[in-house]
Amino acid sequence: MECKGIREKLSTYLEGIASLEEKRLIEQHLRSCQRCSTAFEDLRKTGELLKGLEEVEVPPWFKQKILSRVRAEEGAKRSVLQKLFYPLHVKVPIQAMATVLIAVLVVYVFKGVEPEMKKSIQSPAVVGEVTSEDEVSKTVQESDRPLAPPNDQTALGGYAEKDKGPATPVTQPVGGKGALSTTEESAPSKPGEEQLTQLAAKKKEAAADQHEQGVETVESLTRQEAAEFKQAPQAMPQEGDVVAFSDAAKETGERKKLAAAPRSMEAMVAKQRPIVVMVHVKDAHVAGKEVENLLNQLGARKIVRESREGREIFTAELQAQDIRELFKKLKAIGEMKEKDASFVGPEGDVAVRIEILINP
Amino acid sequence: MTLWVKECRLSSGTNPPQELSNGLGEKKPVVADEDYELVALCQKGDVETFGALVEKHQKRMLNIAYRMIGDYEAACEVVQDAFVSAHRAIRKFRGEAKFSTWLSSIVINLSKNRMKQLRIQWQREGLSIDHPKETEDGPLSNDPPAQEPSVLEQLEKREVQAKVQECIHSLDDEYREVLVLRDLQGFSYEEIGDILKIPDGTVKSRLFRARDALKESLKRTLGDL
Repeated sequence: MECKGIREKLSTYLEGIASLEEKRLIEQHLRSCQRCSTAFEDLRKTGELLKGLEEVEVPPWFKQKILSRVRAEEGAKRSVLQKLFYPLHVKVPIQAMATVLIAVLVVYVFKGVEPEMKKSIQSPAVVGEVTSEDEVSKTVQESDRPLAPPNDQTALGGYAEKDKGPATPVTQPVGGKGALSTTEESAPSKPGEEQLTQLAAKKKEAAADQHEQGVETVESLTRQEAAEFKQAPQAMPQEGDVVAFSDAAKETGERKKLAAAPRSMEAMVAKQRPIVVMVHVKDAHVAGKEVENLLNQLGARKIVRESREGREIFTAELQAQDIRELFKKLKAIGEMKEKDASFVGPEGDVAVRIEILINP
Repeated sequence: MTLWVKECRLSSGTNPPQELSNGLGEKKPVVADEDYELVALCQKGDVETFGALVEKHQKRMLNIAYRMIGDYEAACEVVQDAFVSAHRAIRKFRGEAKFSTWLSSIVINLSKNRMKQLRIQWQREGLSIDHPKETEDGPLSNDPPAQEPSVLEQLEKREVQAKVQECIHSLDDEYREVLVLRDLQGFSYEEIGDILKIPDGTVKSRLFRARDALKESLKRTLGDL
């Protein structure tokens, strides 16, 4: 074996990990080669010098320093975790979440129950029943639509005579064709079926006029009227019922529904509505007598007279052709204010309501 | 003739690493590790147990770092950093190598990084790379006092040790690390391969060259060995 090969093996030979064959060859070579023997000796002394190197000792508190750094890192980690999960920190978000959850739950429950609540509120209206007179009163009061004049009953005077309520000064038109509902009152004022075309042009004026009077009517709507409403659905079509007994908040919708009401119903209502005439006089009593005579002269039927708050109120039915004559005579009696004064209708009976007021 | 390993192994107080593989370059299975239980506890967040591992390995790691860097304070800092890094990454430790091997690789890598920094620093300060900055008591001031009664012998021994350290420090990094790990710390070829991530054959050849280079360096420094 060459010296170079031997020297490469010297390291493993020195460690004792050379094979037996290598070991024999190396030992044989070292005995014969002075240079390789010297190299081996230098290598052995190098190992001894390394062995002679003393170990350095760890400084005091070395372990503690390391552990304190480790704990500091752990603490930093924990503080981050604590911010996220520590109960005291989590508590507030949990409460907030719970509150939001409850709020959402309540909204859902309310939404779920709402349709049934509406049903339960609407159900009386569907069957056409008004449970209390307060509701009726409220419905009328809250309504901003034009109301029928307080003595609308004039148009139904024939019926009112039978059922006139003693407790109120207002004549109650009940029976016969069926009582008027609020819906009916809100319908355009028409003296008869034949007046439908003219009424459209005068609708606004009539409505305003009726509204003024309607304010007074509200107070006069009493128990009898409530009873009237109860009976109304029997006579009225279903659409009208629903509209009539809906709450005040849905008045706009009601009006739309009314507009879409069948024409036959409108005609029927219009027929029942009276012509309202207001006559301003100096002496209501004297004028009252004159009007009564006038009505008799013109062959009016179903004449009803009543006095209230210094006013004389007549309701009657006249032949349509006599209306103009009536207006003419009334103008002679006093200052007449009548929107329908120019009314010229076809033949047939027309309901008239004459209010005699003292001139201010 | 006394075996090289036995001659070179220092009295570190730690058990010699076990040879887990007979053949060089064999693929190893997960090794048996005496630190396994302690490591498992540390992985569960037990800092006190990690203290036990520090206690057990600190001296060996400090000596590796010191022989690599040649500066005691820098070695202390490196070893502290190595332990903290090890703790930080201990949950990723899968036991594919011994804990001591894994820890040593951290120390070696950090030591090499620190040496680069120190070389730059020494170059700026005009100091030689082969003659690191000494403390008042010399580079081995933290060595334990020698047992010899003679002061002259003590001084002579210290001087020789300092020169040997200088010679070690003058070696290339790749020679120095195998020399430190094998001849000073007694790691097996296999373990050194794990630590340095090189094949066992490379460890062997590199070690031969490292010893030869050190021998020549010592002859130049000390004269006749």
